[in-house]
Amino acid sequence: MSWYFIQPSDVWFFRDARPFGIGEAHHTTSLYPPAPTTVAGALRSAVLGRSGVSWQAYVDNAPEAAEVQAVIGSKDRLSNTFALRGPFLAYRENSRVMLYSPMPADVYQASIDREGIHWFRAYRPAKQAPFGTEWGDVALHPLWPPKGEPQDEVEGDWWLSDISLEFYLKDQEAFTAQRREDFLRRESRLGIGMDYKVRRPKEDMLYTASYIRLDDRSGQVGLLIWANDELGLPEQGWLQLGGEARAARYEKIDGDPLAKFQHLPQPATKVKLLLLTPAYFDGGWKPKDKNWDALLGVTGAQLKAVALGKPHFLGGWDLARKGHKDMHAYVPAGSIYYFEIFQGIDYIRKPFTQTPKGALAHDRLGFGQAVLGVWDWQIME
Amino acid sequence: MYLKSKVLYLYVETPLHAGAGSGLGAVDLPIQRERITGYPIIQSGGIKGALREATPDGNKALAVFGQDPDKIGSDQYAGALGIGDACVLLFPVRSLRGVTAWTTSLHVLQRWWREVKDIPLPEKINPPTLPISEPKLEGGEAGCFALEGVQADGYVVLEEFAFKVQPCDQLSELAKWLAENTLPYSLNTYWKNLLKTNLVILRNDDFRDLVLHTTEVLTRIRLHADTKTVVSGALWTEEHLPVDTLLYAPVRASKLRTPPGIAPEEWEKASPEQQAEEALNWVAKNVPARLQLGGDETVGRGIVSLRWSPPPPDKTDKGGTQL
Repeated sequence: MSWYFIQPSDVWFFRDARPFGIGEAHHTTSLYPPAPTTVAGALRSAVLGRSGVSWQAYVDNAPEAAEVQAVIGSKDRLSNTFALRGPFLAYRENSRVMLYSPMPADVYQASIDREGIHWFRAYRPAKQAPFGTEWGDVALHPLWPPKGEPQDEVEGDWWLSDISLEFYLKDQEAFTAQRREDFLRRESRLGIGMDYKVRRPKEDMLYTASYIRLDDRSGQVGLLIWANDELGLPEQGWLQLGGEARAARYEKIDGDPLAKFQHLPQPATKVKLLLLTPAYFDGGWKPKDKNWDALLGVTGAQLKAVALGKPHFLGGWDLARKGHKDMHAYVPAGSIYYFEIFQGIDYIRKPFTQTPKGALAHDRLGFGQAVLGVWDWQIME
Repeated sequence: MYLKSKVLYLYVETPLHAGAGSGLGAVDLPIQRERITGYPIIQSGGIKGALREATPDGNKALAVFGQDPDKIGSDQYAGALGIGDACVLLFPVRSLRGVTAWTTSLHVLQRWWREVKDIPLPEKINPPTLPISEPKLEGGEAGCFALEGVQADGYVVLEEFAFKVQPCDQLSELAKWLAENTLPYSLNTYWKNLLKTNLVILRNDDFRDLVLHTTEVLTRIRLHADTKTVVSGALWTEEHLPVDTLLYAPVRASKLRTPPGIAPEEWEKASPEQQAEEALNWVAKNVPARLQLGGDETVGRGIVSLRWSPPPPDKTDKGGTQL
């Protein structure tokens, strides 16, 4: 598998789940980063586009499509080799590509220093909550700040550099973050539909859309993905990514920006799992059968606390079937699950996600990508 | 996946208003700009629509541009063409000497080259050499790189701002390269020679300030037809890209996405790369040498002349001149 850095030619547009039909909505906004399915679709389309196989032959599972389907899969299932991790937020300065993660959901703002730099810390689970709860059959612990420490809500969107992420995962020191506006701005565009016969704008065809413009003034902002080499993509080239088939330049990069997050220094029994990409569970934020062992590939995992963002609704358009995909609620990136695992764990064995019924295998589409950190109980006195 | 690309250079011949809708600032109808840099752009949707309208209808147009947008249904398909936003490469500014200077900056040049460097140049054309660094701020004076046509005693005066000329080895060759390879064929040698003497490279911040504040802002009114007096409230200001602005837009093509039987047979049988090449060349051959972009068409705004790079094979313009 290889890492690829992807940048836009000008702007990107990744539609969210809200309706945007003629006559019912006049404004639409863009997600960033895009959903894993968007990037997976772009890669599969790129491979199909380079093959000599027509779109119709691929959809009809014609014999001439067998070779390309062995690489990318058919419309119903992924190939055995297809695997994607990401997309992750990324920043390149000179030749170094750095991974950025969304602000975890269990963080508070601890202070702002004299230079205006914001410092953040993570809450910790409280062993004994000073109040009772009715959380049903899940015995979760509330997340608590250290006694006497000032804390403010995190306002706005912040991203953690890989260095800050290290600090966060070690759960020892305060860490800094960067505002989303340091990397991108939303560019609102007004659009009309022209009737070229009469050379006037068409009725009901006035809309505004909020595109994503990445800031390349000091470095290069983009996306990072890890894809299997069997795709056979050239080392660099142009993809069609997102709405309006906007161009995206991709290039293979050296190194592994996630390498230092693959393993904990030693197995730990109290681990927290931070989602870097959305995850799906058939019970909403958890599997219905509550079988964490199966998800983590361990024995004796107990969920102690969670910090969840708002559900992230993703659907999409099935090009092969020419219809809407089912929409599902996903646990957003930045959500954290606190586990106690009797035997200890030092690495994540597999993507932390299930797959909705009828959908392509989510663990190989980039969902449920996560990193491990350690935690301890909050001292209450 | 985009397999083939061309660059479309657009030269503004009449003031161009690619509108962003209404504004809250001093100008009622501002032009489209990039959110972060503030550089003027022409959004790709407007260019694509103009190209589609200028090319003949038929199955080739469906293959290149996609299904008719008025047809909503399950048989929709996308076109092979992908067009990027048009970005400013050269921006004309009033100059004390030489009347007009074409200004640019290292940031703009590097962005342009980053976008077009992978697009094959026409035969026997070598890539341009760009300056290594931008002009400096020295002793409180903003510097620039400038050719002799706009210099006055070692300075260039643009609008009411003076910039001290600093040496740049690459400037003259760069001006020649741009004059020969980006200006449309419809411009005669006078304009190419003018660019070879009137090019100025400013500091990034200075160029940004000029494109923000020295666009054409025109005031318009509407009159009562019978009394010829101004209709109450009918006064507004419109921003335009000035005449002689040069923009560039990447135009890319993938393989065809049409269902069988729509595209011509020779296209359907071609390889993906050949299909992309056919799509690009068909557009480049069939679009006339001039287009109208943006608003206010009926008052003469937005006429641009075009240049494709690389040119399509055997391109002739509507006047029959071999290009």
